[in-house]
Amino acid sequence: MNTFAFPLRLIPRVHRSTWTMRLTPVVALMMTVMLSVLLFLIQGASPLKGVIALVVSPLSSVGGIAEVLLKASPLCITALGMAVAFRSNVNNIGAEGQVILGGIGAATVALHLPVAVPSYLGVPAVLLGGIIGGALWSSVPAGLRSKFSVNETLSSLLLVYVAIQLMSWLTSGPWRDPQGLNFPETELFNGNVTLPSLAHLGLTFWEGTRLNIAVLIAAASVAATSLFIDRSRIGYELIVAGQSQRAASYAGVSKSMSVWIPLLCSGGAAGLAGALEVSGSLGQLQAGWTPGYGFTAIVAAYLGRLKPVSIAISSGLLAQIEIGSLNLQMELGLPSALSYLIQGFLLLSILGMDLMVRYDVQRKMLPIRNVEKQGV
Amino acid sequence: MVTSDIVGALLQSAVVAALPLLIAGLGELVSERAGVVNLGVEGTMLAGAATAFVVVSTSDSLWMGLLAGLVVGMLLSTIFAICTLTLYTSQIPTGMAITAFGMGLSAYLGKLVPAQPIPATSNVHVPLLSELPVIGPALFNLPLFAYVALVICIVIWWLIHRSRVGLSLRAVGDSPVIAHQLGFPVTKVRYFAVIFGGSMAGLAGAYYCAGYVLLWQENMIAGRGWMAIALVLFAGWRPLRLVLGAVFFGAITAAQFQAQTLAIAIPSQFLTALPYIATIGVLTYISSRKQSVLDVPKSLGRTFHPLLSKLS
Amino acid sequence: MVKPLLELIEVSKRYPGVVANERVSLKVHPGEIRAIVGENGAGKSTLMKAIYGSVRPDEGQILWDGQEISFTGPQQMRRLGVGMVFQHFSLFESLTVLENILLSMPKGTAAQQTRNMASSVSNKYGIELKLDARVEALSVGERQQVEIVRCLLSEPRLVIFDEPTAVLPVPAIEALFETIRLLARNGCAILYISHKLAEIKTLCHYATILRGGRVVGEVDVSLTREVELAVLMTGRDLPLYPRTEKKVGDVVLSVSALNSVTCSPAEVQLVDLNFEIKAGEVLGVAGVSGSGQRELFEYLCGERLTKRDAVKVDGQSVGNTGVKGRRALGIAYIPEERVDQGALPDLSLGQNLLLSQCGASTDNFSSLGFVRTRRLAAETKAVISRFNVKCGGAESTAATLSGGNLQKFIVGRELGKAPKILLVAQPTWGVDIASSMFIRHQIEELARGGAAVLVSSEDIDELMQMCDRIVVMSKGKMSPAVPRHQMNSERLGLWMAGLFDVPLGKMASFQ
Repeated sequence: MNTFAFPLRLIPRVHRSTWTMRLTPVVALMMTVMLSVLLFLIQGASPLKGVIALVVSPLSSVGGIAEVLLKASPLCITALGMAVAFRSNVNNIGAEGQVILGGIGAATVALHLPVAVPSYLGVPAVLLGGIIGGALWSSVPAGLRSKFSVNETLSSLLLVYVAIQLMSWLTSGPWRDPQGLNFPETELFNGNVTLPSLAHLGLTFWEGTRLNIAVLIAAASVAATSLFIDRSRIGYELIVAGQSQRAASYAGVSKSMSVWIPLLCSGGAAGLAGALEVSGSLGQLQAGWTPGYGFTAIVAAYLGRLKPVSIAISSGLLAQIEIGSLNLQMELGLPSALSYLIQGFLLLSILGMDLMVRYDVQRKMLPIRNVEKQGV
Repeated sequence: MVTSDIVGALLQSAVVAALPLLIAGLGELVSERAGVVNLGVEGTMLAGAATAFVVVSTSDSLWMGLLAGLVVGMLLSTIFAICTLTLYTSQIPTGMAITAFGMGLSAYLGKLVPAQPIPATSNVHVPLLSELPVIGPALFNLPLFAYVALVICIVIWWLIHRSRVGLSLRAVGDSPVIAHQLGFPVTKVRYFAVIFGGSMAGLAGAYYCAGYVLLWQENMIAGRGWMAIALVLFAGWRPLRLVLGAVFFGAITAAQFQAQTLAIAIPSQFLTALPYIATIGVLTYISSRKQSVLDVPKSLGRTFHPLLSKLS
Repeated sequence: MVKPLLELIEVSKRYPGVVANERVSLKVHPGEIRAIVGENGAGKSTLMKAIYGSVRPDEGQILWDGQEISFTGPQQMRRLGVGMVFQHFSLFESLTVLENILLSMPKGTAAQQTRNMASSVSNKYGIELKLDARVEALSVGERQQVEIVRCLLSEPRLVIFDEPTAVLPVPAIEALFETIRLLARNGCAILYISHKLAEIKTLCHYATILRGGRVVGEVDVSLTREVELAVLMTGRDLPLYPRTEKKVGDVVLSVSALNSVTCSPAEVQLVDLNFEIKAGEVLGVAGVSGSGQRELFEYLCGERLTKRDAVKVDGQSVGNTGVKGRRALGIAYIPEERVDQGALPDLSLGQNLLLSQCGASTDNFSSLGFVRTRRLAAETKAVISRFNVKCGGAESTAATLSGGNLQKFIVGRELGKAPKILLVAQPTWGVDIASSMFIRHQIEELARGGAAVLVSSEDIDELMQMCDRIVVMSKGKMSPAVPRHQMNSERLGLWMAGLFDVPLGKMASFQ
């Protein structure tokens, strides 16, 4: 019957095993590290140097840690939004496009806000612009699914490419910096809309680094997401909708609500992330800006098992891998897109390891004839 | 001024642009007919493209490159199959992981050889027929690969709709639980379908790079993998409709270049975005029609557990 | 002595948490029509799957023609000559009838040949087949006919029929019986799974009775009365149902001219339903499942909407009010499917309590949009203790509860809302005896307290015990309601076949 003769048999568990749940991300991580070592060896580089470049050096200085946190914050926020969507069984895969629209939304505000507006109003306005931009972009797949039953996986993905073109047009056309020597980028944002750095706010530990309030916003988002998903009534209804359509119908959960809210939330979150990038470290909108959160946020969300605090940790880890890959590029000449390889493998390992959580592995049973009759 | 020459040239470029979409789409169609949605097409196409580029650069043989791309696609989809069919992982995130993996792999491979364009191969000229106005260049003055693709397409159509093998495939896609009860080797069928799909994606990417663009760039597939997936939906999971859809999409993709020669004053980004917008439009139209018009494989996207005889 | 065609020796099969078959032994001879009798959950289906080869027994032996068989799968049993007509159809919905039949033919069979063979078999047995229609467009009865023809095409030596008459119209039942008798006369062995004792008396030669996964009796049907079969099947005597007086109040729920608004081919179209339930009254809906009960409940609880006036609560038109609105009016619903509808297995019991709260007047589990976890936990614990639910506490997941305990929890949850109207479908299906009795008692208590109750069940025994009046549903239509002391087996049989207008013979008691 099953021609793939597996010597082992998988029996689903009735009770999920908690220690397996804690162990599997660690195992997945170790497997990924081994893969990286293999890649270094193929390249002819010293595995030790490679691992140090990838893992250790990003964290070896205050500036390094600041960079990791800076990269992790928007990633974390996007991944939190995606976790809300995934747990509601809404596959919003197009976060990349929503991040870009968040950047565009932020730029819209930044480029048109008078200089006289003080920064304690200007910065929130810019971030709000980003949130609205991202939410508008994710409302397209929401409307399409709600009214026409279009699968949001595909529609949100295709919109990513439309978003890239939109940004390219804006930065080479109507918003192009007249003093920018024809580069496809906007003017630099004014000071009143740029994110204040932490050092600026008085946290002198971070003096000399680029770390800005994005990390504080990310921390707040973790708390907010946790409260929303785990403690609120609406969050509960979304989880029900994500578990079973029939149960959601029984409970009286509105079908359209269970599509719109996850998409608006994840779009808004992605938009916020985009705004933080654009008004923070970038300070302008550039055509070449492809945040790359598209896949990384998905990996972060799954690696964190769709739970807010774990997502924060996994975002930090992935940010570190990305920065480490840049180091690898500089020191060992490996292409930086290697980080995609590592992330893909990490996601595969965690998904594969999840098997152990849900199933028990047993030796396959012998055919009937050989079983001794046992007295009961 | 629009002459028949220009229309013919447009049509020809549409058909050629359609080829990677068609091949990748055919592969995904077979996979989805068995109930497995493989979102790794984009990454697989990239990996196939990079591999083909490396092989052609070093061996000067287009067909070796295409074969290499196919093999890489086969490898990636085998990993996908093992994860989703034997380890029971969820199809969508696993597909995304394969795409990420393929993207990284392709970037790595692409750096192995110097970035120099590879030589083009000339088209096949069917005598007399290729002189016909409009359809002549479009149908009878095409790269050899196009005719290979056509053959593959017809074979797949025949297999799915006219053969016992295809009937089993459709049965497995409709209800793996029932098929299992009736004694069909559901997992084996799904394995073959998935690996075939991935091989086609690798082949498509290989052709796109080594037979069409003739140069490697990172991320050169630029969403065509997702378009291929959308194409399957657009075609209602029927191979012959897939050809029409691919040509339609190919036309729009090709149009962005032709529009410049026709001096139409539209920003180039709009034209680049047009295929994706059109795909969304088509998806909307298709999804809003009554279900019975579509051949939706009922078990699409769901994991089958043979021991429990259950779909999740 | 004729050698048995099929022999089972001490066959057992276990699933996680339940023993489906325990050391079952039986023999079937060629030309014999043997009934396999038992209640739901007695192990009939699992046993048949073991014989058919789609399930591998954990212990025991299966002998065919005296030779022991080692398990390799259903293809093997089909090759040996075992055919099965399933209760739940094994048809591929998006394929045509011909394609479905073709799939069960040996490889290499041409489509035209199959077409001819199918036509000849269906003509021989008086069945009309639409060979080029897609299965998803066929009615339930038509689908079963496809199953039967498909099975007969392989010229089996043993055919297993799994509850085949549930969805057939009366004339077709007689035709089916004729077919089966014809098969038996030609030397085919028949295993007929059913719990319809009248049918078994009409058709079968022998009967093997299963209860709780074990064989509790093997009889010659012609020598056994129906009531003896019933006693063997249920393990207890049928109780007497005296006439009772009960105080009832005003009409609480009234349904008038309820018709299905939309209906896909696989669903049952409701036709002109009219009934009322008064406060304190329990109305029972009898009939095999698939007669429209599920659709009726969906229109009553608000999952499906219809014309405003079709459903009225206390005189108020609620036909187009949704689930939450109806809960606010005091409607509580216990659905047929415990898992994935009535409760979510991966959520905790506390979270499952919240599932049907929204809109109810007792919903005080929110403040400022957040869940009040302490209050929820307290109420969950209260339900658990009141209904004696064996579980690992309010935080344990619903998946860890047995069927009976989960049902008790769900019943406790709904009754905890002190509803005015309780809708409950199949309250004790798959539930152990002790929990079943407890649940029935609780529902009766609720009615005594003034609630109106609508209960549907396949177990007429249960309905007779709990209900004041009984209606029967058949193929989307509903019979008139009769007080329970006026329900007897003749009336029940006629009404289950949809013959609401045929006058009765003499009024025999249920026994």
